[in-house]
Formats: sequence, structure tokens, C-alpha cells
Amino acid sequence: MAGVGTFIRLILRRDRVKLPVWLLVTVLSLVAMVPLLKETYGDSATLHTLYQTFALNPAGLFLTGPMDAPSFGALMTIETTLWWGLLIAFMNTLFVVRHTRQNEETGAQELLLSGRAHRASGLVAALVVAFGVDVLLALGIGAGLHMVGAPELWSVESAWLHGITLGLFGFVWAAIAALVVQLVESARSANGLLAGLIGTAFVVRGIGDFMGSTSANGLHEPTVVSWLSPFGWLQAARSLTAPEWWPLLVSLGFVAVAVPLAFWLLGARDVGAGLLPARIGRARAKQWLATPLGLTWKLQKNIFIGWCAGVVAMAVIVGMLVPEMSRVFESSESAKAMIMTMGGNGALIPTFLSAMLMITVLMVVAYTVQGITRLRAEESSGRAENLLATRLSRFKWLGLHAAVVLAGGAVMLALCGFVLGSLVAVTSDISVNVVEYTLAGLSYFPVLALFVGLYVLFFGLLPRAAGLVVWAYFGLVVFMSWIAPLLQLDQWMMNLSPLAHVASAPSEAIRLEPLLVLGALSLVSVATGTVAWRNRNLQS
Amino acid sequence: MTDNKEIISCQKLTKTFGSVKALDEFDMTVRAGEVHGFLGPNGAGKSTTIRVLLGLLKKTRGTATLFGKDPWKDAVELHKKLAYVPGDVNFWPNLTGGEIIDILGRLRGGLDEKRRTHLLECFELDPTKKFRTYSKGNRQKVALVAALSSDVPLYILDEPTSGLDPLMEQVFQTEIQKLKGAGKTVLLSSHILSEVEALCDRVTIIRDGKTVADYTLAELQKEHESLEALFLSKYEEK
Repeated sequence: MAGVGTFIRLILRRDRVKLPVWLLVTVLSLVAMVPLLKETYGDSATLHTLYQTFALNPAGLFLTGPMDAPSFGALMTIETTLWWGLLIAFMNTLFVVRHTRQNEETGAQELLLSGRAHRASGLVAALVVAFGVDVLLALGIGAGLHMVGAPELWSVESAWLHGITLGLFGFVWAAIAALVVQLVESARSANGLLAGLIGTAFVVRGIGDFMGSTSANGLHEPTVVSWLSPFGWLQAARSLTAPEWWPLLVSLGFVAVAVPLAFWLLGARDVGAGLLPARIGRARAKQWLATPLGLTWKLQKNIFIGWCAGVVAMAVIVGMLVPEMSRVFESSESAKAMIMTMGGNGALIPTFLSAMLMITVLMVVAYTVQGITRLRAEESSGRAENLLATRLSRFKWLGLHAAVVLAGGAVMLALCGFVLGSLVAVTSDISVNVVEYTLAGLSYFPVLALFVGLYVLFFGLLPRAAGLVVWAYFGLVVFMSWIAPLLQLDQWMMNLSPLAHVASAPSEAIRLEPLLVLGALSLVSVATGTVAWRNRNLQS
Repeated sequence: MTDNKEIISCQKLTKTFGSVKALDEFDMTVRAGEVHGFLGPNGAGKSTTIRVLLGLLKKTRGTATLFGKDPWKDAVELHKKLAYVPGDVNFWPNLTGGEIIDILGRLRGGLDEKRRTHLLECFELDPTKKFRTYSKGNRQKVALVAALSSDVPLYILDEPTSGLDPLMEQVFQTEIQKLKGAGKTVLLSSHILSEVEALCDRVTIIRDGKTVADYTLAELQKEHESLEALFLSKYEEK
């Protein structure tokens, strides 16, 4: 097809750093998990304890999937498969959107297609490169797991099946993205829609696992609901425990249908247009919109609503799992042992809820980061220039964005504490104080402020690096929250995460001192960053 | 308003980005009530000058004043007296043209409803469409309508007609004549020489960040046969 070669070279040139880095990090971090987990949990006594705990733990089922056997392969599966799956899904969808819809939106596609190029060549090239990267990923993971684990921890077949399953999972999401970019006009909507689909697919699989049952051969069988989700297909291969090749056919079948469908849709629409028509809007701005605060809210609204829905859904799900869980805890000593390792000291349910609250808080932090990084997007696109040439001051422009993001974050924190507390109160016989839970949620507010502070600091001093720095720090904090308790890292490393300093309310009493320190740190950063912003050029 | 009050003044204005000199001791004076043409090849420093005058970029050396004040220090105060059309028109893709016009109008301290209606009609702009669906010319019109419906003493227009068709170009010229009649000051950066000849009282030509010519239109007509001849000679001379 004319032009495909050129498009592929263009993509490889644009992403010459991003793709190799992403590939290396994904493969190496997954392979590195093997020795790390083995050192802490490798002996068979520990594996048996974990197995008994997880086999009965509905929250675990929901978040990580079932533990199939008291084997290291099963542990590796619950600790890594879905999380690396999420990483692969996001990488593939962001990549395909970037090289298809985003190109159309900026008009670059139009120019390229006016040359000697078939109109489908852009999509072909994006998919070829995405699939190529997924193949390399499959080979890397297969070879890596083969080298570090076979045949002691799992068979050679398992190692390669795992690699291939994860690679094919990438194919599936690239194909879904290829479909979605035909439907909507803007890259932002496409990315938003795809993130929503990934989240939904994750939750649907969780529900399938949660409602499933243990079969005669000791394996946990999810209900048919899991088959609606690509994450369900990913798990069904059970690559590292009881390998099955046939689930690959489901993924392959899906790709074989979705990709031609995407090309058919592409053929049925104009370049630059979506299949869902752009709606006509208002001829006049509403009163509230034509104020600095109203405009800022409008620009932040969609980010807020998306994340708020996610956070509330998460709180509802966790809340509904609690009655089930309290039954399990009463009957199982090992479950008690496990929950104690989550950092609790007393009552089990509050300790568990505190841990879940912290996970939900990480979602709120992600919202905060996404919201505040709009500052730079507004500046580099030139949209801020229009506003800053009016009587809106730089100080107010920045302050309003920070205030709206932080207020949104506070609402979400209060909501997730409130919803969690209320559901536990309604669905179980555990007595909870809803106000206490709401305050527990709000006690994480200084963490949000710290992230805003860090971003504003870099936005003032090194604007082009600001987004990267704050997302990298977020990655570190997530990593610390999820993996550090497993790996028993040194305290100084743990201390890099603000969450290490905040008391895990409501099981612990809220400690004011660390919150004030975090608040003060963020104030200093915001002040420094704002002064620097006031004194620098606008940069595209 | 035919006094000689200086509205814009640049003296030995220098702006560097790293080792690149975007403006090199650039001089320009715009007086009250004047429509001032601002010409120069691509990349000569026109937009940089305008951004310094708006307080968006910080000058490296020299002086730049608007209404006698420093645009870097008194940005917000000065912005109350001006309306700006940027060279690259980029607004929020999910807002409509009408919404954007209202937002900018309100942020400039209110817009003249009559003028808004009149301008939308003359420029034949549909305000109910989302910004992302407008063509280049229509995007330009959104910025123009927003700026021209504000009642301010100074209009700073950076290549405002680069995407307009000849009919709309006529509408634009009529509107600028009206502003001139009302005693407003306009700084008009442009590549369209006929537009500059029709509208401007005075022109400044910039090349490589330096002032290479500064004439009233009367002087110009005396010394050169046409603006185009002057323009080409100044652009090409080394």
C-alpha cells in the first residue's frame, strides 16, 4: 500500500526514544519481579499460607484475580499479570491514538495524505508498529521468564505462553483503539473513552472473578461475565499455573474482526471527521462561563467528572465487599495474619478499609496530577496567551487552576470516605462512624497539595519538564504503596512517598504534624513556582 | 484625538532567546489615533515585539512602553486598554465561537452587544459551531470579532487577515476605518501590502530584529513609487 513505509519510518522517528524505553522498562521490570518476589515469598510454607488466604479473599479476587495453586507461578500471576496488563493496554491505546486521530486533529495527516499515500496507510502503519512492539514484548517476556524461571519455577511452555498472552493482549487493545479513533473527532476524547473502556474491562473481570467458584480440580473458575473483558481472556490462559493455549484464539478472533471493522469505518468517513457527528453548541456563553473561575471549571470539568465516577465506583465496590470479607475473617487465622501485614494493629476491618482507602486516594492523586498538568497544555498550545492578554493576571490564572483542581480533589476525598463508611454501615453489622471515615479521606488532602506544589514549582522553573517530573513522582509513589510492603524496602526509601507519613486513618488516629509539614512544603513550592512563573517568558 | 501622545514606544529593544537575537535594538513609536503598519519578512521579530508589548515575554534590554508604562510590570492594568488578535489563533476545541467571543469580551471588561451582532453578521460567522470545526479563516474571524467588539483605546492585531477571503478583507478594512474614525490606535502587523497602503498612516519595517525603515505614508509615497518597491528593497538589502 502506497505510503505505509514512509508512515512507519515517521512513527519510528517520532517515537525513537519512547518506544525502546517503554519496551525495556516493561520487560525488565516484569522479569525483575521474579527474584524480588522469590526472595520474600519463595519458600513453600509462605506460599501455602498465601494460597489459603487468597483462595478465600474476595477483595483479592477482585483486585488481583484468583491464586490458583500454592506455587510461585500463581503468586507471580496475582502480583503482576493484571498490573502489567493495564500498562500494556494504556501503552497500546495511547500509541494508536497519537499516530492516528491526533495526526488528523493537528492537520498533519491531511498533508501526509496529499502525498503519495493511501488514505488507510496511516492506520496500517500505526497498527504495524504497535503489533511489532507487542511481538517484541512477547519475545522479551517469554525469553526473560524462560531464563530466570524455567524449569524450576515454571515450565518453558509457561514462560513463552505468558509472553505471547501479554503480547496478544496488546494486539487486542491496539485493535480497540483503532476502532475508537474512527468514532470521535478529538484525540482527547479518544483517550478518555479508551481509559474508560480499560477501567470498565478491569472491573468487569473483577466482578466475574468475584462471582466465580472453585471447580473440582481446585482452580477458581470465573463466571461467564469475565469473558466480556479482554482482562478475562488474559487470565484464562493461566500461563504460569495451568497453561492453556486455546484462550489465545478468543483474542486472535477478536483482533481478526475488530481490525477489518476499523478499516471499514475509516473508509466510510471523511479525513478529520468522526462518525459521531459534532454537535452544534450555544451561540452565547452562559453568565458563569464568561468569568475566569467559570472558564477554569469548564476546562477542568471533564477530568473531574471522569475520575470522580471512578473513585466513587471503587469506594462502592470495596464497601460492598466488606460483609463478605468479615465472614471470611472470622473463620480464618491466616486472613488475620495477612491483614496485619498491611500495617494494621487492631481491628481487622478498619485496617483493611484504611488500606483500601489509600488505594482509592491514589486515584484521587492521579486526578490531581492530570488536572494540574493542564496548565502546561494551555500554555504550550497558545490558548493561555489569549487569556493573559486580557485583564486576567498570570497569578490569578495559575491560582484558579490550582484551586479548582484542589477543590475537586477535596470533594473526591470526602466522597470516597463518606461512600465507603456509609456502605459499610448499611450492608454490614459493623458499626462505623461515617464522619470519621469522611475525615479520614480528607486527611489525605495535604498529599494532593504536595503534588500540586511540586508541579507548580517545576512549571515556574522548568516548564517543559514539569509534567514528566510529577508523573514520574506519582509512579514512584504508586510503586511504593503497592510493592514496597512486599519487598520490605529500607525506611529512607519508603519515606520518599508522602503516603508513608500520613497516618492510615480511620484505623489509626489522624496525626496533624506530618500533614502540616506536607502542607508547608507545598506552600513553599507553590510560592517559589509562582514567582518564577511571574518572571519567565511564555513558552510554547 | 490627534495629539502626539505616544501609545507604544520601543527604544533599543533587545530580546534574546539563548544565543539567538530575536530583537536587536529595535525602535518603533506608535502615536495616539494612528493606524500603524508593522511589516517584515517571516521570522523578523514582529510577533516577538508584540509579545513583549503584551508582557508575555520579558525584554532583555532597552525600553518598551505602552501608554507610558512598562508592560511587564503593569500587564493587567495595561490589558484593560487593549484588545489583541494573535498570529496563531488557537482556542478551546470544545467551546463554540460564540462562547469564546463572550469569554474574551468579558475578560476584557465587557463587549459592545451591538458591535458583536453587527460583526458576526458582516463576517458571516456562525457562532454555534465548536471551535475545532471552523476553517482557518473562520478561526481568524472568531479572534477578530472578539477583539473588535471590545471598546478599548488600542488594538494590537498580528496578521489578522492571513486566512480571510477578499470579501472579508473588505469587511475588515471597513471596520478598521471605523476605528480610525473613532480615534482609536491600531498596531497592524501584516503581509498584505494593499491592506497596509489602504489603512495605515505610518509603517515600520523590521528585519532580523532591527528597524530598517520608518515612514509616514506621505513620505513613503514621495520617496518610493510603491510600498511594494520599498518593501522588496528593504527585505533584500544586506
